[in-house]
Amino acid sequence: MSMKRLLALMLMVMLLTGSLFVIGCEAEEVRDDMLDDPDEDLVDVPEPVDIVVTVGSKEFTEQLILGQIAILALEHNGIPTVDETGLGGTVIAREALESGDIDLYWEYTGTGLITIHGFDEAITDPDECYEVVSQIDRDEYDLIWLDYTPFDNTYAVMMRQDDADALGISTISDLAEAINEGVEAPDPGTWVFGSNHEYSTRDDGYPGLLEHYDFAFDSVDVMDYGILYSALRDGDIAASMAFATDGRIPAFGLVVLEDDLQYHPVYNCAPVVRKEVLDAAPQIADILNPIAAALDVEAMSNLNMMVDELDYLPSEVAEEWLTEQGFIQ
Amino acid sequence: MAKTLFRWLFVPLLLIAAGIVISVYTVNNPTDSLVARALTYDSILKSLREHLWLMLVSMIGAIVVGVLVGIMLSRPKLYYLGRGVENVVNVGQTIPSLAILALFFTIIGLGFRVAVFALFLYSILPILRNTFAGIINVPDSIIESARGMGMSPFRILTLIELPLAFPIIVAGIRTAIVINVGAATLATFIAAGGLGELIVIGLSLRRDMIVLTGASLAALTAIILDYLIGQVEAKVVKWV
Repeated sequence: MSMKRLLALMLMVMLLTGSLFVIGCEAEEVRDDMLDDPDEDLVDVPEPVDIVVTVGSKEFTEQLILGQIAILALEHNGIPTVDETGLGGTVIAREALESGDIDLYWEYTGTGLITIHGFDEAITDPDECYEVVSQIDRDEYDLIWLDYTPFDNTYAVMMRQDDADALGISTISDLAEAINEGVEAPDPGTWVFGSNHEYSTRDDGYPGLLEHYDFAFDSVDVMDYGILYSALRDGDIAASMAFATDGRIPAFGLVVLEDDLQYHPVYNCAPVVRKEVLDAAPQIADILNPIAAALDVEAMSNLNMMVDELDYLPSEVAEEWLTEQGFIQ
Repeated sequence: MAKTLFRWLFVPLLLIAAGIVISVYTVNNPTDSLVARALTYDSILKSLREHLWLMLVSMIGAIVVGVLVGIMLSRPKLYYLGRGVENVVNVGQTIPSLAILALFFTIIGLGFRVAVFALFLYSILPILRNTFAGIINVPDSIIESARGMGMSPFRILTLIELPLAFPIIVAGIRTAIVINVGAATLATFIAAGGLGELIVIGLSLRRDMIVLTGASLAALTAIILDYLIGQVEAKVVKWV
């Protein structure tokens, strides 16, 4: 064996032992850490779970984003997921959850109360609404509501910002007064109210709004929710219902009128999980609760706008936001 | 005469009666306040009236334009253009009706007129195609004998080609009507009302009764119109 080869061999042996030594030390360090802080292993070294969580969502932007947020957060913490987001509406998502086709989706407290459990009277206090709904679901359906978000994606009434400024309208009462006094309507020339199908009929929707504020529009145009905002922007309707967190409100120069007589019920959002799944992987609650707590109106409208107006994918904005907030690396 | 008229109208009247029974029953037996609000005689009549208007206006336009253009394209001078148009029409028919509505919403705006226009375009397709195909497929031998007898092209069209193509043209119209009734339920997405409004409200509120009322009235409308056109066709064929 030549001298060169011998040297090379020695070098390799040294490198190998050296690296083994380093790895050993690191392993010891990790073990030490785990002894110091038992909670750490939940975050850094996810325990393997023998469960797959099927995450669903309804079909609109906010739901798609929330679905992706749940998927990314769970995956990042070592819980495998199946993506079943984009189901066609409350009824379908709920039935999928009840039948076990999906294990988790984000639902709104107000929707749970009225649409799912068939209450006629809306509740305007967030805690109370959450308590009522989560208790029924826990007791009767084995479904657990995790913590709810600060954002309240309630119904709202909106106008074009320019018209609101010109007519001095900032609350729904102002609007009611203007219409009752016969103030001339902005485009399209009569007081046409735009609504989606659900709001046009439900108890806490358009009929109750008129009663609560004691006024009446000239007519109602019922249309798909997706085109309400552009219809208002383009002057096809004078005012319209909206969801408070929709990203198109700031993007299209629209403004939400203040609900000064507290008419609209609360729609905070929370992940609803099947009890069976939560029992098998209780850490789901620890993962999703802090995330829900960080979702306020501003955060949610921004995420919605990124998808609706700037054409990002729900999964992209979800990942960016989770990273930015430090929930995933 | 009275007897034939009765036989003629028996099925439609029966179906209309079924529609009335369904409406009266659902209006008087609402399962809760939401159903009661969505299903009133006013709301049902309004939706039905809007639906019929949407269909009527778009179908009349589609029949007139579809048949006239179909005849034009079947003339020898435009025949090759006709083949091309037929292909375009076949491709056009594969576009979902909801997409057509959405497309015209983005181009024109919303409301009744836009929905009528979209339905009109969508209904032209089967009528135009069948008119063209029906006339083209009249055997050459018949046309040539007619020509040999000294008939002018206009008389050949009205006395030979159209009568022979008539059943195929009517088949196209019937297809268009059935498509139209279905597609008109989507008009509600662009603020044009119709029975689709009941269906979508019912779906979004999770109240099957509202959906069933809207859907069954739409289905009955389609069956009645199809039946009536079928009867007219039978009469005309006998008369021709």
